[in-house]
Amino acid sequence: MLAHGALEGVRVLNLLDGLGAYGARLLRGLGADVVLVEPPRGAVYRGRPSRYVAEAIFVEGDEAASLYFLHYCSGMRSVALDIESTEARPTLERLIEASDIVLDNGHLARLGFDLDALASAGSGRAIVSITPFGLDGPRSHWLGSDLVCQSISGMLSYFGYRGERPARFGQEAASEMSGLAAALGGLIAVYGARHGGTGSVVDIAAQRVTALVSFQMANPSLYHQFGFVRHRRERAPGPPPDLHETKDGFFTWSTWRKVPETLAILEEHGLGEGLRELEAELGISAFMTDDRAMAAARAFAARFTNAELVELLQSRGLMGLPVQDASQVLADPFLERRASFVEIEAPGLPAPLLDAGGPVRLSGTPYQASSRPPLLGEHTAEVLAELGLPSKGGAA
Amino acid sequence: MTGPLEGIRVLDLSWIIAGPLAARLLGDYGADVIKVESRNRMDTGRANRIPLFGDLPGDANTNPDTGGYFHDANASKRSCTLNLATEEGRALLRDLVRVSDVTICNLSGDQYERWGIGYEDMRALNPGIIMVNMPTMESAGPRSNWRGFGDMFVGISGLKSISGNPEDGPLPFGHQYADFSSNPFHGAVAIMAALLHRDRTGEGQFIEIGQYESTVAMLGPTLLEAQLADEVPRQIGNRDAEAVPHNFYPCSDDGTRDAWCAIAIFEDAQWAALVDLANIEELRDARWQTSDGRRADEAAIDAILDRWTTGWDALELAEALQARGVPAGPYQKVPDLVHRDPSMGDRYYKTIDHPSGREFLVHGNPLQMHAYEADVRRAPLIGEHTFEVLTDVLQMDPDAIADLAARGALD
Repeated sequence: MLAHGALEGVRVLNLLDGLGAYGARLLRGLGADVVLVEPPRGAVYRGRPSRYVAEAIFVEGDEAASLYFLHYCSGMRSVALDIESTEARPTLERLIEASDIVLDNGHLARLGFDLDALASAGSGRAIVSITPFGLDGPRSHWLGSDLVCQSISGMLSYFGYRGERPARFGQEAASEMSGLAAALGGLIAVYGARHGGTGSVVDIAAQRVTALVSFQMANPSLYHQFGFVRHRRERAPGPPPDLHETKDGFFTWSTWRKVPETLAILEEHGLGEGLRELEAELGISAFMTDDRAMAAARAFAARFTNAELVELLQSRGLMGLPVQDASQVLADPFLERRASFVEIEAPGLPAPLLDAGGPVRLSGTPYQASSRPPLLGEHTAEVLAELGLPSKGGAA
Repeated sequence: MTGPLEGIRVLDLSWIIAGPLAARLLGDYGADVIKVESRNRMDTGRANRIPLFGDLPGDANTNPDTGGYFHDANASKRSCTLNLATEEGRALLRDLVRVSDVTICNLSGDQYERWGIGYEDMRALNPGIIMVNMPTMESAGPRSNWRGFGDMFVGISGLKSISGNPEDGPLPFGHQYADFSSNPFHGAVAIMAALLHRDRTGEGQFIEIGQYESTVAMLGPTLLEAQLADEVPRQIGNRDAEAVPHNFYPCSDDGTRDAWCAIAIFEDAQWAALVDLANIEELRDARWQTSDGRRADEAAIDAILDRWTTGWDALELAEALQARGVPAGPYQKVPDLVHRDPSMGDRYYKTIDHPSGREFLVHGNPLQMHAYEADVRRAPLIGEHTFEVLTDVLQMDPDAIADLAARGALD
């Protein structure tokens, strides 16, 4: 048992099998005791096929763990319980009663629970529902997936080019954002309850959360001025204007509010001829997007590797960072210096794997990146005993 | 002011989006968030190059109260101007630290030290303080002054490398995903965890969110996959390991040449329902009744579906599919969310009155709670609450405030 997380003593019941799994992972890392309820055949996440690795699961049976399961469920306690069965109902009710935060994708309502009753005033409990469209509203019954949530939230209207088929962003960007919001909502409700308020249902709609990406755009005067809205962006030959090709990859470089400094560095490298006159003639805004200025910046970037360019620009207070793939992230000496990764060990893995460690660093209560996923039902007896229940209690 | 976070005071020293949004998420639920800022060096979101109202008189570029980002990221706060270049301004900041619970900053890694309130100073003033720093890379060390913004963290964290279609090449600027997800939410969640810890132990702490590191956490299992896959994970469009077909399909033109419907078939019964709706003989191929069969012919299926969906309005198609139990959703743009989507519209966006007499919209708080209602209020005008904060929070008398103002400490 790891000790001294910020959320030590906070008990989370994890009924998630889809949207928002990151929320449970984050609460676990912050020190909460997360009890994962798995059906007798194992959580859906144990068997989720990988997007890039043909072999989905490395061991069969109780030790089965997909890469999704390793990532999202390591460090949790596993209770095997068939929540669909009537004989498991009292056990499920006790597990809920014993929890400060319940994370759910709609199972509780389907099983006939009244969510508001579960979060009733005296309970101090947060019942966090994560669904594509929310608990209320005309589309609350609609089915979603990460792609559907990205589509309906508007976030994809900023990526790609007009007329080209939209494509998903990230691994599961809507789900990740929903998980973040779920963790926050759960903690706010628990805090409120402990300070004179009540427990609460927290209704996380993936659509609403993901729609944050459209910050400020609800106002027509802004929406119609922004050039990076997808349907106003035509594909042109070569890399897009904000991406510079270097000797070994692509680099994002912004001259935002730093035009004099940018001119100085171009001049030092013999690429500044005529640019000062151009800037005086055009003004800063037009200068920044002028073909001649951009050509000079491109020629400059092409002389360096990403590692050289980032040092050169950042040492001068200029804003720019390389575009990296997952392997480059894993090999980044900076993240290694910060000990950003955790090694995960699981049966069947050829070797321990590195995963993201803590996304936040708390000086007094360090993030607890977990190194091992639970076996199916590994903690059933232990958890039931803590609740004063017989070791069977309808558990599988 | 009521809400679950009533009684919590947050000093928001941050700029642009990631830090301000973290604080705003708490302000909507009752925390007293005081944005400490200066007229001499403003949050660049305040005088955004693209203001809320395109036709306000005067130079909108320098109007500090019309920034679009600003109003979304700083709703539900008070503004107190302090000139931290003066010792008197910094003394007032220290006084505010004494009576606050949380401070948050996302400027240079060492910005707190530059103000003379590094963590040890803070703790001396207020042992329970929860001090949050959100540098791009690290608070101290060789990269403490590195600069970046949301889209750059999307690039460096690896998210861009797995986003988009295989033929796309690296994606151009695509808004600032990390500024709305990893960084503000990790900030707000860590604050809540630290507050609960302080309740139990009385201890405050220093919280660092390196925005690069924090965004790497959004990769899901991609890092694990990168170590086991034959090739580095790349853009694969909308292909999915579970759902097939799983894609965007073209719909009838809505005037933007960019109308699509997302369809995700996870179960064979969903496929059967789609085939029933489409009523196209080719789709009844017996081999496609299972996901393995569909996967083998995914491109051929997509080509047939492309032809079928082209005649549909995207929303009507999604409604027809959803009525049959098939996950689907129109590709929406912001005007659709505001005007056309019954789940959003005024169920989500809040209308704010601006002192210029106009109205505009900000995002509602994305968390909805049954026991509490988010109280989303207009972002403060610059210095709008300086007098109020100094009198109410620091119990200063008006003469002393006038004196400080005259000496430039409140600019």
